[in-house]
Amino acid sequence: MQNLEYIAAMLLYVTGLGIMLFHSNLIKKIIGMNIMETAVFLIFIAAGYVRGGQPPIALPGEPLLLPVNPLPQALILTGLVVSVSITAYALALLREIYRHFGTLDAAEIARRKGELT
Amino acid sequence: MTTHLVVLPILVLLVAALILPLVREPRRASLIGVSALAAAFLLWLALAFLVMRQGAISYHLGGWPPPVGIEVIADKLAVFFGLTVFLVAIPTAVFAGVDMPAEAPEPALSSFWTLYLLLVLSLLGLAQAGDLFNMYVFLEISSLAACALVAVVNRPANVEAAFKYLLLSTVGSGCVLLAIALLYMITGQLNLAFLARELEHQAPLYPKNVIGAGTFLLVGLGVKAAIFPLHTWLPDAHASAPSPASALLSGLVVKVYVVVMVRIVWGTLGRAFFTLLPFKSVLLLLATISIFLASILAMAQTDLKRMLAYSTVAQMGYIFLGLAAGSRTAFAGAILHIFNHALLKGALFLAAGAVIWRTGRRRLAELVGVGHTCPLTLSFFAIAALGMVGIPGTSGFVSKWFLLVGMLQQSSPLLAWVVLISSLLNAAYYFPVIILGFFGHGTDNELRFHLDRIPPELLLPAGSLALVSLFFGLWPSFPLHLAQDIAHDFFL
Repeated sequence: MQNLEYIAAMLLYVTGLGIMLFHSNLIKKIIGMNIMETAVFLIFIAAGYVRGGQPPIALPGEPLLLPVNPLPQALILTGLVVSVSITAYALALLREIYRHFGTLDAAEIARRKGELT
Repeated sequence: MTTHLVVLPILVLLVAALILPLVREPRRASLIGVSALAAAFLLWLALAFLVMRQGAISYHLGGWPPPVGIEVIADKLAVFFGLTVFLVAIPTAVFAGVDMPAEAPEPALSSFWTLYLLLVLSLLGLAQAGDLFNMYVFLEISSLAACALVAVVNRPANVEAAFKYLLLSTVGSGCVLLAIALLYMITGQLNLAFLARELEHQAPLYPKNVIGAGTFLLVGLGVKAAIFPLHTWLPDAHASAPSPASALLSGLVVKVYVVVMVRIVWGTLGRAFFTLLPFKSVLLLLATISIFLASILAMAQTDLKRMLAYSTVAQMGYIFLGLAAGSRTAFAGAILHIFNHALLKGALFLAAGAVIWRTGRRRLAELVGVGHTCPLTLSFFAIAALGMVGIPGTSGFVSKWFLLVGMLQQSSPLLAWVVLISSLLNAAYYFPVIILGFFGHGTDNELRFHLDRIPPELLLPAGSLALVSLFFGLWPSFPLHLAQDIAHDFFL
């Protein structure tokens, strides 16, 4: 049970990827993309966690025994910002796609695009 | 003081990109964009000169040395790619100043320039990044800016292509981040030099992590560099984007991921990695399929820009083929091909854009006889197309020659055949455009020959790229020596 978080992350990753590949609804594809990214974030955070660790903040007069690694957390904060902006942009694109094609179904969009050209 | 030169070009572009959304007037926006690029180019030239004289420069952001601080590297690889970036991006920017108002609505213009500068700065940042996480951040900036450039024109095809591109390149970035996590887990380092040192001890202990990291890196960067079977987004995105954006995307953006791959895989992961994973064999196989499949698909295209987009997939195959062939000469050829293909494909897309601007036609069948009304533009197109095929005297010939010699030295004539036969395929789809363009009779009655009625801002960028590539085909020593030095530093 030591590597539970990694197993969970891999499950999330595969779930997200599966949703992206096999669902034709574009909103679901974005949801899948988010699940997949969350899995990667979880792996990164888990890699820096120390079981029973302390917050990595040195208070005056208190020795810092067994701090967790703060670096992955800082990095993933950046990753989250990136992920949010990509999601926002994807949703904005989706709105325009709906305006142009009147549907969010990938197969239907491909069909209507073929009619356009 | 001199060391700050390493980050100044990026900073100039960043500041200009942040000012641009405030500029409402399109002409002023394009002026600011072009002058910011020119200023950054001058700074980059100074940096290049310094690097050529003193060797690689390492810059520590905030003055904190690595592994804790962030390192920015200016070595020959970075300088080489940066020069390529500016050589393509500046003519394209001049082109965009006239072409974009015709393609995009006016409110979109100032954001076009913001995105343009952000894209260029992310390319420079990727070439210079000295640690994995910085690379990831610049990777995301480049893919967001590139997707947004495709969708600057709000047409159904553009929005759909941009969405597909965004989704796939996010999967790519996710894979790269996962690879970074796997490497960080076993080494505790993100800085490339420290990671390389640590990995030597850790790779034998944790081979599965290294294999996983390698696979995810290949998939992640492969999606972005459009290697078979992950290339499906490219033709849609590059064909539907406005012409200057296509030139930038096809000429530079797909190639920066090759530079990143060289820096991470060859420069950092090193020998341990190649012994654990059949990385090169997989790359060779995928590159070969890319070259043939994309060339054959390019022949089947009816749309000019779509044909050029498929040609990019094929040419990326050459670059990967050269990297993985296992010969130093071929490696140098591949690096040189980054430079040559960037100029050639930039010239091709700009020439195509000028023709589309003049005639409003982009279907190959309608472009028969276009040489009568746009003789100069089609000549530039022809020069660049001959370079793509690899006719002696053009720059494409030099890089293909080095690929061939390298493969023969490596006694793998099969790979040499791949390069030769696929050149024939290239000719099969480029020559008809040129021959029918000059000698065919179009459907319309505009048969009288006259010089191009195209403004010089559109004609000159295409022409300068074509002629510069011709110059480096006849006198290739400068980029060639740089490429050979890079091969010397990175080849494994």
